[in-house]
Amino acid sequence: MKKESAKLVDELISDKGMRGKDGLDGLMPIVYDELRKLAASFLRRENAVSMQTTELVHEAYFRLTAQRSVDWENRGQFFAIAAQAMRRILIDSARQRHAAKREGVKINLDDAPTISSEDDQNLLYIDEALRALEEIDPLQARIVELRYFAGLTIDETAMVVSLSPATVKREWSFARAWLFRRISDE
Amino acid sequence: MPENSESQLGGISGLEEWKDLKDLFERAENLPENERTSFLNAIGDPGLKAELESLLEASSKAGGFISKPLLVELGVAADQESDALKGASANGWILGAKLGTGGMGEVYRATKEVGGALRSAAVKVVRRGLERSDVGERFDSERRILSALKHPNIAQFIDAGAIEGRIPFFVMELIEGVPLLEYVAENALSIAERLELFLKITDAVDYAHRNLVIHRDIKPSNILVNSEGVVKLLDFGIAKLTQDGVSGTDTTVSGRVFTPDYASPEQICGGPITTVSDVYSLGVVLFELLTGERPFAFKGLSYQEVVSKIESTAPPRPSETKPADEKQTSPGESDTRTRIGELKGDIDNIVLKSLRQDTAERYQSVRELADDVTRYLTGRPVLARPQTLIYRAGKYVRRHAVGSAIVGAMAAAVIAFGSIAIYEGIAAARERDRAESRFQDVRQLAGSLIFEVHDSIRNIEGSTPARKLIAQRAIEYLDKLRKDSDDDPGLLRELAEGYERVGDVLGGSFGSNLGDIPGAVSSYKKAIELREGLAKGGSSEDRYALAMTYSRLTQITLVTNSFSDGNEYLERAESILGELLKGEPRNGLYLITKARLVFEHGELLGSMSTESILKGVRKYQESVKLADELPESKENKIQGPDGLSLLQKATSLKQRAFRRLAYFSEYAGDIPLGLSYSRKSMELAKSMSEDKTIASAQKRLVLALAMSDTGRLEVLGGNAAGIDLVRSAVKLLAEIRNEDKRNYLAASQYEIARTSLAESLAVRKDYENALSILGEVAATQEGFRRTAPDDSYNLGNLAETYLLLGRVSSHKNSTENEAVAKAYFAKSVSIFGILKERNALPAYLERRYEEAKTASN
Repeated sequence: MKKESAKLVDELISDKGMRGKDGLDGLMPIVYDELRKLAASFLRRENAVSMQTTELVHEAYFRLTAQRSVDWENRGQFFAIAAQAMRRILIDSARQRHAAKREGVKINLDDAPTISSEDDQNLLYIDEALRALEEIDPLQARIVELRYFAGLTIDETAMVVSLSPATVKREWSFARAWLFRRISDE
Repeated sequence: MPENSESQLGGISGLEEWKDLKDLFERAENLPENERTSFLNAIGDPGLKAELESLLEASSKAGGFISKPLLVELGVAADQESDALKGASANGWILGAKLGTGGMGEVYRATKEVGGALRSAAVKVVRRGLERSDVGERFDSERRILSALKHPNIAQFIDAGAIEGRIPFFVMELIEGVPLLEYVAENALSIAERLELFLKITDAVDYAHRNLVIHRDIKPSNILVNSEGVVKLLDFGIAKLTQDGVSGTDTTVSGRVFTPDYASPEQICGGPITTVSDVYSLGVVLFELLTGERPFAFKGLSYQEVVSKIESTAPPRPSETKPADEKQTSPGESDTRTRIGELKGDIDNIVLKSLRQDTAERYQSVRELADDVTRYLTGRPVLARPQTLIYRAGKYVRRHAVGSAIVGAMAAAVIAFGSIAIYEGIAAARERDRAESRFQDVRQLAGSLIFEVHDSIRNIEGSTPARKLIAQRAIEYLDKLRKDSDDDPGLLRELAEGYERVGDVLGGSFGSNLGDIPGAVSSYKKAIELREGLAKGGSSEDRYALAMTYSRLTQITLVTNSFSDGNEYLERAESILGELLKGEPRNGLYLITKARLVFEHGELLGSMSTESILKGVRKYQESVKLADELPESKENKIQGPDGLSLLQKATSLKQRAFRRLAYFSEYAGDIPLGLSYSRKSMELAKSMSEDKTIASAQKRLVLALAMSDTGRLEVLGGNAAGIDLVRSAVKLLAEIRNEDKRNYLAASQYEIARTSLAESLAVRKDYENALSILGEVAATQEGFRRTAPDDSYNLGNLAETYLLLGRVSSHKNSTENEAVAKAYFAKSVSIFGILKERNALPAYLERRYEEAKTASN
């Protein structure tokens, strides 16, 4: 699996025509994989060393570039993918834990030392609301992803989405209000 | 997915309105509270107004909603209890996020600026309120213990002190890794690989024991594997300094602190705790490492039940435990069976011998346990089994399938003659008693001087004169011993080893030397003379040792540029290896050694003369062929003392050879060929960098260089996108360099990669940026030159940088630029000239020298 993805990356690099959107989709599973591993070690606070979210993403970026000589067009492109991947990872695991609890499956304490069931529930609400926002304003949803899931600052987010920091700030505060209202309505 | 977009938008029904809403929201948010009402009242559309009002209300109530990144939120929730020390300074280490809380302390991530670079570490502090309790004492003892231990597989102690004079802390190496068992499962390691990993752990524990420290809490969660695949033993929290390896009964501590599943019976029952207790815990770790299960599960049992279970139950055999096989894709029936098969027998015995209840029946030291595991890995008979003759013979036959019949006959002969030899020996010894004992004294003294005294002072500043004196005395002793010696091969070998060692100390290429090249050459030559005698009709070991001595001598000729001597030595060494391989064509060590010698021969021929370059290229190709012949056997996968298996060495050798072949293809003007070689070299470098069992930090550097070469060649070959690869390489090298500012190799290679970047930019006609980069590179290399004026390698690089500066400058067609270019060419010529004068201009640079000369005229 790992070798194959590496090959895929090489393919993507060698063929410049593939560097568009399709190329990005091809990279998604690799980024997902790397981040999942890192996030897992983050959540295991007892034994492993924790990291701040951005460090996590930077670390993933470094590992991916160092190991595979992937040169992302720029860091921004990477973060856009990483944010999506982080969101999927965290939501997926919240969903799994949530389901496990409902079904009365015993879960290993080591797996989830830090997340309470309340956190999980909230997270699933946020994800749902974010999906709704995506339908109306994809850009705002992306900004939320970058800020909340990848831990980017306003300035970093601005770079990724190629907008001014002021604009990002505006969109962000609107999105936050919108999401909050939607969640409290339910 | 929204079924109804109307409801998603609230009262808003279209894109236009959405934009209006965002607009109004922003304006309203920026208004002071008292102006908002009139602003809202001015909105005509009641739907829009209501929508806006509810959003503004949400905004004011949202508080900290999603305002912190999710992972931080989760982390903060977990750590809310006490992150109080965050931001505090511990001897300049600024505490960051809390990493964990243990029984007696908290661990924080911390950073400190050291010489301009930000260094990370872990800072452990006593949990507040416990400073003055026995916990405080134990904390102190961990600090003392750790500060005395220095081992690659033990989390390194860095510093200690007290925050604000009251909270004791100590700083340790920060290990970003995963716990042992998880690492093993994630990477789906084979049994052999697990055992290799285990040996690293035993190394660390053995080292601690030799420093009179018993760990007493060895368990998988105290063992992390970092991203490089290096094992690190942590938490000496309940370790104890001891005399003679026994730490006394100490029930008060042992009764509470250890983890019962990994604790030895004597720890649980309150007996004396010794180094052999650590052997037991290692046995449990090994058991779990191999099977995924622990031999005993004590969870939920009372202390009495635990004790009685230990006393009444024998641990199961690992092979009889169902392999808890991880996430591996459906472990098939056959897979499970092979694994059980692998564990059955020796492994079972090794594990069970570590887990014996009676300490006297266990391995008596961690070293013994490790040695047995190594024996298993190399197919030799393990000790953990009744030593029946049949068993030993069985092992031996398996290892030497062909020669064993002869060995049988030989053994009988040795036994028969053995007793006679001993009898004669006694008589002779009486006669020679006095002379002999004096002789032995000198022999011991010489050995001690070279191997102990010298090594103990080699890192002390200002010890050079003393080291010189020691080397001088050692030579005198060795010479004298040689004169007095008869033909005892044991002594002759010892003498040869002594001369080699003195050679290394005087001028060898291993570690720091005293810079006495002629002295080193003479000492190596004495060793060769002795070894030539031993090798004549001697064992393959003697012949192999001779080849190695030639190889050492060759290293020096590369430094002094006495290529024709080196050429001769290498031919001799290669022919010895050739003979050895005739006898054992599949001997991995011989194959790799020959491949390495041939590679070095390529290096030598490539530098010797322009005519010999072609021969050098053939050597590189031959070296690849030899490395390819190495069979992918289990034996060749075992890590050697330098941490690399023969197969890994083969890969590294091929990678280097391909890189050279790429260079010379380009030199020959064939860019596409160079590119295909360079891609191969990058492929191998990549595979090495992904190989977690290679611990060396060098592998990233190697990858970066291969990337930069390949990218540059891509650009030269017309693929402009190659420049991205060069950029990544530069970035990677910058990171490596910044990690350790003293790493000269990384610093110099960073400049080389930047030169490649400049060259690539110039191909793309971006002369401005190319020139500015080259200007910086030249300045840095001039800096290197000031620090080490004799470093020919740097001088060669600098001369090439100036040549490139000249070339790029002359692309800008103006008379002014022509003058600038000429000046650069002149600088290049002068530096090449210095090298030439010193007889230190490698053949492959001759052409560049000519080019610079022509251009400067």
